Amino acid sequence: MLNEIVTANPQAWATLALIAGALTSWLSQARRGLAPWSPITYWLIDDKPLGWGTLGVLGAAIASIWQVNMDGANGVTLLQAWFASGLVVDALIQPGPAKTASDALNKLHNKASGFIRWPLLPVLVALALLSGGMMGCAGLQELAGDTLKVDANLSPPAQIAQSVINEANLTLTASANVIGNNAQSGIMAKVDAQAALDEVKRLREQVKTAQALLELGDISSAQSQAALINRLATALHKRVAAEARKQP
Amino acid sequence: MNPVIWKIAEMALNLIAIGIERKAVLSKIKAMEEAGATGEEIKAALSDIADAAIAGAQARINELPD
Repeated sequence: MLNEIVTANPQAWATLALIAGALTSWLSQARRGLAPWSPITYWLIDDKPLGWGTLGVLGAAIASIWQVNMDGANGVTLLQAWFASGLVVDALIQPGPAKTASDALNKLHNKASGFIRWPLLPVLVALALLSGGMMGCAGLQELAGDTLKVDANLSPPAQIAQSVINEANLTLTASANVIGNNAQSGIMAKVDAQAALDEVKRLREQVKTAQALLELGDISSAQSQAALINRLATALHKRVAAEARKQP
Repeated sequence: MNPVIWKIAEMALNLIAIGIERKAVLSKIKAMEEAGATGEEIKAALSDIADAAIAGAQARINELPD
């Protein structure tokens, strides 16, 4: 039943993992007599090293971002479970209540350093590799399952090429929508948004060329061009995100 | 507060936004598939949606002051 829930709604599972991680982290902080938000403030304000708890919350957040971008690869939930287990470790290895934040961190660091040396460290590495491998397999499976329907009358190589072209159109649509949103909300400067959109337009023209090549029967060229566009569109996504963060 | 953290957080939020937009379009296409659309119709719809998104983004940029 749990598997069905996860498969049906991986986002809800990701959110639950994140909340569970945050709660565990906060409980571990409470055990040390510290405020619940202290793991974050250590890092952001006091420039202190991160604890396992904070790393767990951040890891779960990163996994959630990945999950959104991978269209719900259930394997990512394994990564989240992994980070959540890191939070449990956090709770287990905490020292007793400390009077100051730095005292607590020092104690935690000393204890954690000794605790993870053996045999926990190799186990953690093995689990990380295992979860990473399973996550990759699940992600590939998810991507394969996400293939949009193409004309069944096309030859198998042409169907693959059409799938890649469809994917490129999908990606460029998302890019254009986000650029428009960012420009309108002031996240991106007008000139940056225009430059990014010009790039989308250029890639869209290339997609049209790839589609024309496919319809002319040049399947190989069409597929390679569409694959190149997909890579360029992914690079454009990163650029759009980076341009947006330049704004004050 | 550490400005690097803010930058990373903003970049992450933008990546989430792109992923959500992609999912929204994908949902529309999947609904077409379930309604019995052919591969040819889906190809045409994706092409139209891409052109409409680009035109929409351009219109929104044009509305902004220089």
